[in-house]
Amino acid sequence: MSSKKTKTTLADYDLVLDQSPHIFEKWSSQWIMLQVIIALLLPLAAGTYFFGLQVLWITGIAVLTSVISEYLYERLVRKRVTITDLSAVVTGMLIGLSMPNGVTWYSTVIVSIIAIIFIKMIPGGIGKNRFNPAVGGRIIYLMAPWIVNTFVSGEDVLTTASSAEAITSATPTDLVASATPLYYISSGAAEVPDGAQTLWNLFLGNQGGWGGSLGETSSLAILIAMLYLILRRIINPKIPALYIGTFALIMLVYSGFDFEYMMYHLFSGALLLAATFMITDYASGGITPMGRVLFPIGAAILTAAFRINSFSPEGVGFSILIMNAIIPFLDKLVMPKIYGHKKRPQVHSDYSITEPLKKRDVLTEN
Amino acid sequence: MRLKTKQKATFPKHNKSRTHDKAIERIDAPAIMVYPMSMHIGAPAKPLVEVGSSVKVGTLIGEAQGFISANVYSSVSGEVISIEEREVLSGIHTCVIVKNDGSYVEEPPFPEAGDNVAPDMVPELIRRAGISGMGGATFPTDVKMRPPKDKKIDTLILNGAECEPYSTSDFRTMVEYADEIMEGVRVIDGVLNVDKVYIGIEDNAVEAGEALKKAAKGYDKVEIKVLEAKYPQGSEKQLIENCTGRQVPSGGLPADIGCVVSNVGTFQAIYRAVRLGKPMVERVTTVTGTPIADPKNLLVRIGTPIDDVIDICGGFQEAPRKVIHGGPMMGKTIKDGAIPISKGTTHITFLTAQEVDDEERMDCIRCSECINVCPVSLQPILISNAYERGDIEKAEQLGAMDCIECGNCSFICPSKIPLLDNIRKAKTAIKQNTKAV
Repeated sequence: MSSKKTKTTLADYDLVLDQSPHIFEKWSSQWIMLQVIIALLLPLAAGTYFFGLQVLWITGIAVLTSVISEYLYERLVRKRVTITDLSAVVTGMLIGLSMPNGVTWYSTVIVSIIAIIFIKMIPGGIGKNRFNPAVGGRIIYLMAPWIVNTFVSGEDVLTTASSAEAITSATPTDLVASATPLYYISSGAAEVPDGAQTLWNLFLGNQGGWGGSLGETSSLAILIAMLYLILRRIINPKIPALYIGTFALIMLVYSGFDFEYMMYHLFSGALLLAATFMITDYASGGITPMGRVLFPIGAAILTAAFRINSFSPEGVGFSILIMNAIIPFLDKLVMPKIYGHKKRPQVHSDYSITEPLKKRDVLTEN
Repeated sequence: MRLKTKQKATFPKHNKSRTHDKAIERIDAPAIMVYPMSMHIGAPAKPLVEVGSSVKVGTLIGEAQGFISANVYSSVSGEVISIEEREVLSGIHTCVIVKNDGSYVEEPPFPEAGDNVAPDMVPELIRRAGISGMGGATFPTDVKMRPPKDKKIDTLILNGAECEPYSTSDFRTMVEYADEIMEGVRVIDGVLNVDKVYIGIEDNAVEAGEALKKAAKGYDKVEIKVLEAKYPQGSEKQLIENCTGRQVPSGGLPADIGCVVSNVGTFQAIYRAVRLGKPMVERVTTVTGTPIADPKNLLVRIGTPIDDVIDICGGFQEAPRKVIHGGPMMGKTIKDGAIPISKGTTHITFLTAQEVDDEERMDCIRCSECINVCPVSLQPILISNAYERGDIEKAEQLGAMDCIECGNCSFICPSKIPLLDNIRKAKTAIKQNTKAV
């Protein structure tokens, strides 16, 4: 043939040299956060349906405040701005949905700022916060009246009045903690009292307009959101299953196998919302396979203990924070056994991955 | 029966359909052939020829040096035109350049080879033939077949779990040369006298299992393990555990737990060396990827420069951005088309610019996916962080040296943290520390 093609050689192409691996899973941290946001739209919609437009308004304020706080903080300390990773949006949505019915906009703003600045950014930003910002914000909100009473008016409500009433009576209405129907069945009661909402209404979210915080009113919406996250492989189904399962088991045993009582507990308060969005939080949960089993079990035991016997009917938040605090130590004890080794690895220095990266810039240059 | 394995893994797209059903095609060698003296792990071979020497197919041109080393043979007939230092896959090494006269005159076969070779002679012939592991790691095969006297080998494992995406060279070899592979197994069994032979394949290579089963008819020791197709199913340590339930101790060898493992193609080479008296001068290589117009499984003479197989596979239909010797999970990128196909070239993968997406690194969100996919149960993010903070001791305590460099951690990381890069650097630093002490 006359028109013989010239030989193809690699020299004619612009090629890159690189270390393996050369292909990557098609996902990103941003995409993960986006999936969580999509899932959160369900409880948001349900909350709006039952509580009205204030839910959108409050959640919007929380999201906006969270994102702006993170942006301003990062500009202030001259760090790379990370708001595009969408994690502040997730935190904001969770804070908004954790607020009680009738909350004021300025309370929401304060809680969001505290959550982002003090719980997320100061410890190092995304992935380095030991405590869940949304839960932390929620608990600070819950504790606000107590803090104000103790440190401002010098009166210790915990000793002057008896448990749960102290919190509720000592607070303005808009600062009352979330789970109101739960109040009836907590504080030691081992059976469902008369006058409580029907189980079906609790499940759907129709709690007479005064039950649960804005986002946790509809168990149905939350369960669909959970299913979505599981199908998208964002959360490991083991985690909510262990949390809910352990909690349900304890409640069943405690009530002498009163199934209805157990179901009331499951469908009220922050339990399902937490099981879906908070227990499963990456940054503040366990990282070892065993740690990810211990975290939900521990949180479930604590939640049950709080609900059965405590000054606050809402033990979910406290349980998560306590587990947040101890999980790094548990993780260190249950590090996976490396292939070919008889013992778990022994690390003599600090274990947590939240340590600041001191020499990073120096090392990544060469 | 497909065996579900609990081994932690990732599921990269197989990308094997391009060449899965394409029969192995023998190709002619080009005019200029390149023989690096180091196509194996261990000491480089010493050139035995000079510029101007005439060679035949099967002429020994590089002699193994030391216990862990391998001979190098000419795969064409012709004349040595140069002996020079060149950058090849394993670094800068001496290469013998041969001008191919196109007549393929062959050297006589090894006189000791045949149907009745004494067991003692088998490792000798394997060594003489210059065989090194054909799965990519290129460890000299004769060393594996001479286990220390105090170690009883009871299990022989053939690695046909071709878990690297894009590669079909092992698959085609198993389908088309099942009889030769099984004959190689009989040869080795005659030396090691094992109780059990396992052949591990993935469940996307069913035809290979059928072909091997047919070839092993009446050979009761042989059991074919069809494993779930996931990455890195073909990693030696994982394959041993999946077949026998045993774990190679950290820092140890398969022989420590009575196992010898080698790639399926290696057994074909053993058959050819011991029964036919032929040295290792050719291998099956898959040339594939989106840029390649007509991807193929080729039977290539070792020493053929990569530039010379592109047009045989239809040239480029799209511009390549990355050329990988091996697969996208563990392969090495190359730029120089004069680098030859060597003993360990399972496949050459070409990727387009679109397929090479370099996304920006973000902060770790602690999703713990890297921990969930590490086949040796390391905690890659912790090792990476320890290294980046300069805490080499902690990287070592966390087991950096046990890393098999499969790449799963970097592959899965949603924040695109170069975990494996950092672990590799940590390993280098640990080795330097150990030397210094």
